Amino acid sequence: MNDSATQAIIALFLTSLIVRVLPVFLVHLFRTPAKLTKPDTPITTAQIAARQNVIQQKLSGSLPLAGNRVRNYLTEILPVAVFINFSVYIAWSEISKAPWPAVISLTAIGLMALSERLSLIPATLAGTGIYFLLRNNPMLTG
Amino acid sequence: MKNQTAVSQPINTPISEQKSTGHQDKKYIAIASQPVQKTLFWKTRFWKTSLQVLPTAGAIIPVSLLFGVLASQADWSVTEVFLISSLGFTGSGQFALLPLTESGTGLLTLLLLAVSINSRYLAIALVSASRLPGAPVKKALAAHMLGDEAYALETEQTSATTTLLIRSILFICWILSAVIGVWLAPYIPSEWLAEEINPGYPASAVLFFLSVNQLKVRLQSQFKMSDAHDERTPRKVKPSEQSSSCNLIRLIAGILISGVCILVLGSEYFWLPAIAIVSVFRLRRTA
Repeated sequence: MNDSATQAIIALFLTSLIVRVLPVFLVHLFRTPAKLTKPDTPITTAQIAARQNVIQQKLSGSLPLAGNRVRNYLTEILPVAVFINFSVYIAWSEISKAPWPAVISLTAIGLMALSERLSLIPATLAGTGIYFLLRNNPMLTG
Repeated sequence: MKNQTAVSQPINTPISEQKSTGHQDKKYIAIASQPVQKTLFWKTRFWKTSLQVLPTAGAIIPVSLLFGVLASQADWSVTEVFLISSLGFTGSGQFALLPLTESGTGLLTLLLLAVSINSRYLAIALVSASRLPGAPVKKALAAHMLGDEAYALETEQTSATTTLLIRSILFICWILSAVIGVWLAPYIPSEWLAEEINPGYPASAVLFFLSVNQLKVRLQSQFKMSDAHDERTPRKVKPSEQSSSCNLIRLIAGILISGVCILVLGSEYFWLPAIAIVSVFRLRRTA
């Protein structure tokens, strides 16, 4: 194996550990005990007391419902933000290669996804077909 | 004709296989023991999930083949391509680092660049952490196999086994295609690799379709939730109209913020700031 290839492999493997594996274990560490406890696991007296204390604090309004907010953020807000950025990134990278074919093709794919008239394969085939047809059109490519 | 097949939708696990909490879990555990669950999964969900993932896997094959061909042209061996595809497993990162290795760039620079390009996975890994298997090795493996396409196919309702299956199929397809690309490289005419051909477009098309679909499903569920909330708190404006228009404004604002971030920071470094700003903006508007 050549050195440059080895360096690239090490860099990408470390990247995967940093951006994909580590966050998953960090989330696991910071979860509340209630989520980590399996239903058939016996609960200790200290855990019951801790939960009662949290419930009392929540009921009295002294503790904000941070858990719900975090869950709402991770399950609703963040995924939508990621998919918005995905869509914009794909559109941006394809438009920078071939503006008009990409705009027309991605608009068609987006409309097909929204209308639910075509499933993934037909929509992708249609969109890709439009893209390559327009890309080979001298009027659009100049 | 409304042809809504399961292929176009993110993959949900049937209620019988979903994770549940509280007394439902006890009931579930009492009804189905572990071996029975596994048999049921292999009999029913395995082939169905595989068939649902295959179109997406098919779309990433040309991209991975292209990587194998380009790596072969840069004198990479089959073993090196296999290792970078399996240990690295990141389309954009692999393509970005390939030319840099030829110019003798150092490990730290390669690492910084790769982390910057793939920083979006930080957010995706956090979001999808709850649907991973519990065992540490399986969890780490599933986390490593996380890809854009897999994330776009999964939902919060996807079980740990199905998540692992989706990711494994895409992961294996990616590695095999890259290796096949190395073997095919001597037989592929150079004009096929020209910039004008853009063999990566089908993968972009698939990811765009899945992203729009996910946005639609998620925003629709948020419309319903906010509508239900509005019904409890009477207002002068018709609730459904108000929440729908607010969500549409937030979506357009999110797209604009993301576009501005790409313009200012570039398409390689915009991910984390853009995701952070869009999510904070949505959070503030939701609060």
